[in-house]
Amino acid sequence: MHNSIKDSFSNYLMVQYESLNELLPVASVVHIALGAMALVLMHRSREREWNERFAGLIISWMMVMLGIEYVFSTLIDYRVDQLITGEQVAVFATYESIFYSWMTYGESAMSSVLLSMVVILPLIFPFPLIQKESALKICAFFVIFISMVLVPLDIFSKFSHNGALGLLRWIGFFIWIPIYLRFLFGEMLYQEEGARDVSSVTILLLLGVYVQSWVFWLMHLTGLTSVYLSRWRVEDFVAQSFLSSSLDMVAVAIVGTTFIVLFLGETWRAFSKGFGGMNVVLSLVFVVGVIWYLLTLVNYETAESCILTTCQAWDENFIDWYVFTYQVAKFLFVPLIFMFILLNYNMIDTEAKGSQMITRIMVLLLLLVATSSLIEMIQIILPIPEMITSALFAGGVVLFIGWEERIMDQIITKKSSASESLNKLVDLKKIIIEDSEFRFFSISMAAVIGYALLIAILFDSMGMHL
Amino acid sequence: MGDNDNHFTDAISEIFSIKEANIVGSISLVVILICGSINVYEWTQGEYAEAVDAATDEGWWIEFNTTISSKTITETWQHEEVRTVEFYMDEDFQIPEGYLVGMIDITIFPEDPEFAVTDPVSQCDAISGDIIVNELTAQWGYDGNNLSGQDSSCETIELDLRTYPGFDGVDHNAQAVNEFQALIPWTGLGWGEGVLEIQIELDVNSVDQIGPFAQDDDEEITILVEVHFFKASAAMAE
Repeated sequence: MHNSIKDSFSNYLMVQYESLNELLPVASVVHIALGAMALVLMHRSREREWNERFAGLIISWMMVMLGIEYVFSTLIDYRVDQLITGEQVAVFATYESIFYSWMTYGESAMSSVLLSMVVILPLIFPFPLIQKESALKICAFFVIFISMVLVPLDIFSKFSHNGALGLLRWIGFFIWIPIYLRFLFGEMLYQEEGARDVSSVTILLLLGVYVQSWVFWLMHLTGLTSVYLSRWRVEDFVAQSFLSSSLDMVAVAIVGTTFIVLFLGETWRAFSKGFGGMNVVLSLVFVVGVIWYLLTLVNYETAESCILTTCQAWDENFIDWYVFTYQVAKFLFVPLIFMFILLNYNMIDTEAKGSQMITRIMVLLLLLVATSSLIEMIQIILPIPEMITSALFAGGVVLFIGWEERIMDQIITKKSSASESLNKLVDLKKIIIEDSEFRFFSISMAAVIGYALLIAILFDSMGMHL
Repeated sequence: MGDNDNHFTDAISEIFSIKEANIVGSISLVVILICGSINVYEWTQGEYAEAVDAATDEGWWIEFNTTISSKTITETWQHEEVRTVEFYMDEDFQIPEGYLVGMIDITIFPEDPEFAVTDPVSQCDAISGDIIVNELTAQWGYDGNNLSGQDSSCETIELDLRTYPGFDGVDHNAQAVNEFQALIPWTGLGWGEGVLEIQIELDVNSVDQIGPFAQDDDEEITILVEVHFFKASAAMAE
């Protein structure tokens, strides 16, 4: 589901939950900072395979776009908070004035641009389906075209066709899952050397793009999710159309099934190759998914209250669970995975001038921000004195400074390259792409972001929907 | 061009080159199709319509079934006496099961003025009555309340207090997504709880030594308190 159990838990009831969206501001800063640094590094990584470098560039831009989207979400959240607490700002005195404003248009515009990026990534990495010298140009034009159509379309339709637009996200499942299975079976049955590099990076890419949906895998697989869709139909400011919500019901089946495929595949592999980090992550998601299913059953009456009687507020602990699973996965785990892909799969050329310093900053920024945010979140739920959390954070800083050294050493010495492994297994066309093409792509993406923001501001200034 | 097409088809062929992986992929696709079909079927055949229904406002006719419980007290006031009479809402009135307190009407009756016929020069006493604003849960700020009144012409004094927000006893139309929500404004508990205090002041008017009867310096006053209870029901408006 494109938005899964969404960020609008408090829309209709105007109820404030302390922990909800607490991570949004941090996430926006982290995504933009990491994305910008990764962009610099990717432009310096001239020695890498074209598709690795291009994929790194796409991921970096995706991080920047996610960051900008979260900036808008943060502003919306801040305004809604003011509305609930009665500190209304004259211009945004009603929920409608917030909802139909440049903030929501900007958020939606960034989401639409991001969709087009999600489409091209599976076509390029780890297995390049487009093997042409003009691959970057094709992809840039594709992103520009899709964005030009989707950005205004989503706003014109008052965001009521998100499920239909989200069809584009499905492409990742239909390309990456066959690639994963191909190289998993290649490794397990035919002992293909290097196949693991391809299958593992594929899992990470899938986790990076879909992990926030996978935490609901069992609900999705069993169709229990429909109780939330029904609730949003009543509760949301804009309800999804019949087509959109019906497509969402197909999407949830895809999300649930693909997770099971990955989980079973990795469990099978663990039996003969041993239990690894990937098993830990997938097992965690598996357990979280099961708990989500059970908690939905527990809160079923609240969930369906909107349909039967009147919308009841969610239990505070249920919201905390949502924040610690869905929002932590979305806001902290996703950048962590993307950074891991960039650093561990040889996409960044750490030998390039000045790259090591930026890489160090990236790693430390990510780890420290993630730790401090999590400690802050725990403090909201558990009444731990600040002295203790400060001490914990200080301990974390010391730990990470030491750990960062190890991570950096590992990046420099132990590199696994999906492209190199793939080249040994498959006959791929040798492609050389000029540096200027990468610059062209980046300029195009900056222009697309500019276009999306301009549309958002212009639509709002002309009083659309009001 | 042909070379490029070959690379694309080669890439696709390579991805689907392992039979066992293709079998698992096919099974996954079948599972997706089955689960997706079931989900879509259930959604489109029932859940969606229920959700739309729950989200669509409809017209409801709100009808009030009302009943009145009353209590009367008659007491004698002395000249220039100010006294407060208390009515305990939970003890002095019979609250029917499931009913809520809508409003309170108070009527203050002066002493029967029949003797005025036999004593033509007698004058009516001045009576003033006030509902005292206290902890009784009611709409004290409502403009339509009549919390005080006075009379010196042997007429009754009418006071009233609205207890339930918006209640006027008149059936009306409302917009809501379902019966439950249509009735939400009329299911609030806690209104009309506490003590009703009515303050009565008497000022006897008498003409000394003129009439055939002795001068009077008191008056018997009757206070009738009527509490209007209601129970709302909603029927879909045609």
